[in-house]
Amino acid sequence: MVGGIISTIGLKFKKVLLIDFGLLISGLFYFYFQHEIPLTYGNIFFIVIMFFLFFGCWVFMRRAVLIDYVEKDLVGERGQDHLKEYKNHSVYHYLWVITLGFIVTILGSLIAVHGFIADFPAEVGPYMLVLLSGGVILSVYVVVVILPKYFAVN
Amino acid sequence: MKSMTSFSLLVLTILSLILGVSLGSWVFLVVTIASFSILAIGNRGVIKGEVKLEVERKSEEKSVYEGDKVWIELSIENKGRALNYLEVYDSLPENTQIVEGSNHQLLRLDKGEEKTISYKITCPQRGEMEIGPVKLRYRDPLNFHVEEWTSQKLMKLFVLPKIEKLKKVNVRPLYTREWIGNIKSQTMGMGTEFFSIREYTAEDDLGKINWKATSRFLEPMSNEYVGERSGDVIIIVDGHRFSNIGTFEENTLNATIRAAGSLANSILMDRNRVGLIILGDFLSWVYPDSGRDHYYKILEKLSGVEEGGMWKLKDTKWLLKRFFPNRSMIIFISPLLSETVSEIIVDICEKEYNVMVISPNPLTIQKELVDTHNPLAEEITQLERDIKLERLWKYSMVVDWSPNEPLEASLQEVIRYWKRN
Repeated sequence: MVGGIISTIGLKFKKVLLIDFGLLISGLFYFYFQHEIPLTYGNIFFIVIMFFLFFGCWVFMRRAVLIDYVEKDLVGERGQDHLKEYKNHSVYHYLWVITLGFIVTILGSLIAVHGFIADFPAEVGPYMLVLLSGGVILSVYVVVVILPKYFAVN
Repeated sequence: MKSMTSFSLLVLTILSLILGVSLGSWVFLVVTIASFSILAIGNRGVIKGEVKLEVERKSEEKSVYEGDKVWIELSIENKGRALNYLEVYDSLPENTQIVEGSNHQLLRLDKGEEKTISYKITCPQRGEMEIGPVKLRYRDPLNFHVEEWTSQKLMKLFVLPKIEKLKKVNVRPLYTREWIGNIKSQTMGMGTEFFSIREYTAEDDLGKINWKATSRFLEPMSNEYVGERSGDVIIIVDGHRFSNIGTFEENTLNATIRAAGSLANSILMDRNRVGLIILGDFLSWVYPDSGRDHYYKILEKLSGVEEGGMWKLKDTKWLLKRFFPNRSMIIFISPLLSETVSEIIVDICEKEYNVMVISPNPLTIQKELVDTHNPLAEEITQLERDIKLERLWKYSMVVDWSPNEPLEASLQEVIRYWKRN
């Protein structure tokens, strides 16, 4: 709650440090209060969603500050096109990072906890293992091959 | 260069790992995996290899008048890898104001792509200024990696003093020289205005023969023209620190400079030669010459004038005698705040110079800047000024100019009075 207020104040006054600090506090407290919830697939999914919700808030708040920082120097219509291009591109990019991060985290978490959940039915177990291994390979492929192309820097 | 954001996320990852292990909580372990995945994905945006950016300016030197607006154009070509988030900042001097566009932009540049940034600025104060350097910053989308470069492409901007076009008034030197100009001389010579006809002589140009008169008198007759000549005018600008009153924007020095620029324009238009002596921070001068280029040379010199001067004002006399042609017309522009200036003017008038004094009234400027003023003090100061002007009237033409009124009106009035008497 307090963290949320701090980050909202940071957004209002365009202070990046306040945004970072507020969201960090909120996140840590949130996860601390949830740290004793039982380990189920549903809860894993829920925690990962909450993490990316915090992360989404953080990147979009920072984006808003950067846009405002550039926008306040703009006078008239000229130069708006460059900023518009940035606005569109950044939204697309952040959503892509969040989605990709979410997939990688879910897969990673499932693999990590698979060992001690181990309650897959015997007939589904091998298929799940193949699916998760395939998922890991796909994640690695995405991170190493597709993302660099998307950034067009490698 | 890794940014603090990247480092903070790494700390968060380690912290959640420690919390997860120490609390025996799977929640923090999942947070660790999530933070780590973000860190891994985010770091893919880091540039690897050389970045080749070419920054060009449309023009590297420009002259504008005070208060005018000017477009600044900057093109950035990416000859290296594609850059998704390039922040460009073109540094501007303090006394400029952006009226359209921005000097700060976020660009997305593909490989081989060129983009132009243009913005319009207004320059309210005269002077020589430098635009640039251009600061470039690449940041990956999550701000995990920041790289900065500086391009030393500078643009020189001369903000020339605003001038007033003196259309109805002609300030002309009393003494003329051999060069052709617009001033009608007392003698015959080269010119365009017809004076009389006379008998043809062998030295006469065939074009000068008046064929109608030749047929009437049955002997060759030539046209005689009034000689049109030009003279030398030397403008002296008093920028001494004791002669400057007012704020940074509105002061007697700025008024003096505006008057000097306006007069230089008008006199040069009449095909005279104009010289300039600046008694400012440095004692500087421009030798008399004519033409458009010379006009801009004078304005550029005037645009850089700053008040000051530890040297003696008496050096002006030596400078005039040593470097400038005698029998020139001297236009001394000064608010006459120092007694020494009046003494020098009297001294110059006693030599072979035809002198005109233009004095921007410091009281007008001062009155506009203060909310309340003492009428008695104002009266005394005005009286002291009147005495100075009265004394100078005995030696030269004196223009008491109120800087918030057009110079042309004050000049016209004084020239008309001078001619009548």
